[in-house]
Amino acid sequence: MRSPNGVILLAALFPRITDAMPLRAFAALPLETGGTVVQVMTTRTPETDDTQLAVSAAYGVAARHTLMLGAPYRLEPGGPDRWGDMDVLYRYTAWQIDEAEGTRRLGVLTGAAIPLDDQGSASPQAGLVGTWFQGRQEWDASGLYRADNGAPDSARLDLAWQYRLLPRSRADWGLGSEWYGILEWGTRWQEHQNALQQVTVGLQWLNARWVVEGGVTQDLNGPDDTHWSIGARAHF
Amino acid sequence: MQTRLFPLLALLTSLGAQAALPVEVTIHGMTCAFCVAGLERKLQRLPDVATVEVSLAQKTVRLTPKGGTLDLERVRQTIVDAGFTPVEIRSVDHAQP
Repeated sequence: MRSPNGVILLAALFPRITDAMPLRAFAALPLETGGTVVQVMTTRTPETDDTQLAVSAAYGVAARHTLMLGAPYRLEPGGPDRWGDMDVLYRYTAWQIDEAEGTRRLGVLTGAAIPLDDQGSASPQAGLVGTWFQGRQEWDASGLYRADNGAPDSARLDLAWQYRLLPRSRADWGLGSEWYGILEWGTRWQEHQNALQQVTVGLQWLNARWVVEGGVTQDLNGPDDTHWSIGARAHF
Repeated sequence: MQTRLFPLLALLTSLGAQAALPVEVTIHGMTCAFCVAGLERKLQRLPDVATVEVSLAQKTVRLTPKGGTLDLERVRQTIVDAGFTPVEIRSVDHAQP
């Protein structure tokens, strides 16, 4: 899994746990102190007959501090080295402006990618994430750089836009269910290789406890594969 | 319904401030139901809170005290711990038309 191709493949497919909306990108929205979000997502790539399962979790350490963990597991094809690297990331919200109709936040990401297959050592990673939520729209932008030990460095950039499709107007009281449309663009770069560009279109249904989500990601260059994802999140 | 307004800053300078009536708290930064659910649960767990109602439309949380009074400083801190910004707390008297 730590071969250059393996690393960039997992980096391309692995969704990022967030306490909010994007399918594959980070967000800087809050997770309450002591709160936990667990996400499970399966991604199928027909061209390569590859199926991944990604399990992630986020824990609210404090109002501005969130701990995030996640690891992908290859369901198909079988064989050894099914686990990808486990991402351990700490998000600190360094800047926050809350308004009646939304919020603007900027967070700092630091952590490491830890191999689960006893090969190699932990690789430090760091980045930034910003979120702008206004009315029915959410914009998220993030970048994460990984200085790999024993393998080429890698980086990812993501830009995500979510739009609340339903309800158009919220009820006066109570947390009802909502539908969001998602459009994401991502770049996965690895040293000595061309950057892989991807676009994702998705749909989410959520309520106060659950998010059920799915989408399709199309490579715009490189392997030119199509990836189908479906998953769920629970908020405890 | 008669509503009396208490500026939040006044509450912050009087630790231990309490309210015997239901209160409505205007909160900034609330976005989607999934994000706000944690705040609703944390408020519901406060020992002096009987009911919690959230309005994403009005950016407001309505709290009903359990028997005695509400500890407003604890309410404010709970909102901050959930990652949001309390702006104003209004005491709401349902008894008067």
